[in-house]
Amino acid sequence: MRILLVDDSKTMRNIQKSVLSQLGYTDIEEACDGQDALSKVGAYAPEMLLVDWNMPNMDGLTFVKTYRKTDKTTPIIMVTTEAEKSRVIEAIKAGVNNYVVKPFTPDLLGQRIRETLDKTGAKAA
Amino acid sequence: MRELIPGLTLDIDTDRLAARLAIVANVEAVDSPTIIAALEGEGITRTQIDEEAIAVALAAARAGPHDAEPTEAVVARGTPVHHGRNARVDIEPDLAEQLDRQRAVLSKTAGEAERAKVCDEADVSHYEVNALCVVAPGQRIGRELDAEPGDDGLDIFGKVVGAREGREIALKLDGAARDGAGVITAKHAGLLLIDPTHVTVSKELRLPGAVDFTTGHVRFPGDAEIADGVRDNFRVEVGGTITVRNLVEAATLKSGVDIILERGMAARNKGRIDAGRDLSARYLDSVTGTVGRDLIVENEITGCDIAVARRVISPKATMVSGLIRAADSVELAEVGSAARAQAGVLAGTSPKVEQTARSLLALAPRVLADVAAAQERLKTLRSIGGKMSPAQAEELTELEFAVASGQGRMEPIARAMLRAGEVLESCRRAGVIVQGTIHAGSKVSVAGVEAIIKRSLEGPITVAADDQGTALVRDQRTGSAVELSSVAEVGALEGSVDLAAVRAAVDELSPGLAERVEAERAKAGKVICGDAGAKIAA
Repeated sequence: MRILLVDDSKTMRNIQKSVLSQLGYTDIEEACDGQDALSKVGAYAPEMLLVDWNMPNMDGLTFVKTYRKTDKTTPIIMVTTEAEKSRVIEAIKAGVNNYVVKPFTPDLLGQRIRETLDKTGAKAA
Repeated sequence: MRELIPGLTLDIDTDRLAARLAIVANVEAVDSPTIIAALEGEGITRTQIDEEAIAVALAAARAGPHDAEPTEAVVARGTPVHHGRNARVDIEPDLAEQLDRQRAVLSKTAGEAERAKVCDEADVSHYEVNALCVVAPGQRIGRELDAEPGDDGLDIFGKVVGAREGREIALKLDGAARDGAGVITAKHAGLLLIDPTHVTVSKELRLPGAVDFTTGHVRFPGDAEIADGVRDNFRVEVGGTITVRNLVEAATLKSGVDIILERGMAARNKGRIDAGRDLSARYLDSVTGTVGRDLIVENEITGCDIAVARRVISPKATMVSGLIRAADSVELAEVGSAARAQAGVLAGTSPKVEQTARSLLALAPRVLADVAAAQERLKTLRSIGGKMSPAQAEELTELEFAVASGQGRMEPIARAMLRAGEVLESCRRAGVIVQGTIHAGSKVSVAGVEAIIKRSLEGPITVAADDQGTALVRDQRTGSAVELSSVAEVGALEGSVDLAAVRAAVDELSPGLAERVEAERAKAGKVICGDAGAKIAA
């Protein structure tokens, strides 16, 4: 399964990669902001995306809105420090399927990924 | 050659396929019809006579001066026979060339000169002659061709020369397969051998001579049997067993399975042996190497440095000098010499496992410290009240991950340490058995201690640790024992891991792991660990 990680923090991407690898997902691509992600989705054709909210150049919410214009089904998990209810609703309206608030434990991230895949019927590793 | 008519001589080839006429210069009284009639008179059939050739030759002879050489011409021609070809294998060109070289090397009857030719023809280093035709699994060998019929011939007298028909052959394949189009490929890696009725890919290589400049280095996936020796600087690397019937000089031998030296090896500190399993030899002189299982020497071991992964079983062999390290027990007839040559026998040493245990012992406190530091920082951050900044949230996530990942590493490290400790503990029970004499000055190591023997000891004796880990010298005839320290200068073996420290580290990383593992094994019905010293203790 192809998974795209969109986060400006290399450390956070490494953490997510490690959790995904423990879950059996190893085909992973990385992008450092929304613009970078938009330039990669065409060729990489991800089957799931983990997206940070606050990033330079293009933030996660703008990226999700733009991406959803062309792809309405690929599951997206927002991984962010934005925990307010209104922000969560805003993200879900934009097309996010699930939400993980930082700080999170590896177990919680793993649980959210599994939940999202189950709900969207995406294939397992 | 005889005169056909005056001035003309006729010569007929022995195969009766051509007739040659020599016409003297300036001949006047002869014309073409006369010559043709004369040829027919000789029995040559008209259809085989080349009238144009006669006319040309006659004209040339007439035109020449009186003293010119006679003009010669082929004036009748038969049709040569084309014999049929038997069914055969059209071998791939590169393999065909390689097979030619191989034939000389593998032939028992080929002389030195023929073998040397292989070497001289090679356009690479003589060590890399590559005289053997070794094929890989699935490699195309060639294509089977059907028999071809022949075409009869006709001699100048009109007699039919019968052609031999090509014969079909039931080609037998061994280690090779053919497809519907007759393409033959190797089923497995091996030596390609082809004769008119067989295509064989052999897992065994039998060299009738030595490994030398005629063969170059030998690299072979199966077993190799060398009827003669292995010369200086040559390499023999095989996946199976190497058997050498004569002397191995300062060469390099590497096997996936056993190495059997029917004579021995005089390596002059340059040769090397690495046996995947057992190494057996009559003698070993100045050899360096490793043995994957047991070392068996009949007569003498001199000046060697060999690491043995299991036992040394050489109850009749004298180890004059050098160093042998074995993970399990060592049995020899004699160790050292009256001249106090440097001989060292280390039983129950496993450098790789000791190294692993040392690395893990160094790693364990670092992992514990990292986890503790991350947990401490987590505690501090969590205790800060109020809304968390994004940076703090990210740091907390990183710390959560650091703790989880560190804790995740502890159990595998503890399990690896536990296993290494068990192996080393088993090794420490191994001993040295000497049937004859251990000479003064010899070094013996058992149970993690190293001893220099102060006075010669007469065997049969066993040097091994008792249940409390004390190294003893036991007389096998009387059963009496003395502490090793009473007959030798004893000290800790350099690089030997402290097993108590290993056990403590395992407990700290994963409390109760030893008991859990014990229970897991009992459930799985497994034998917990090998007992290297059991036989010695018995």
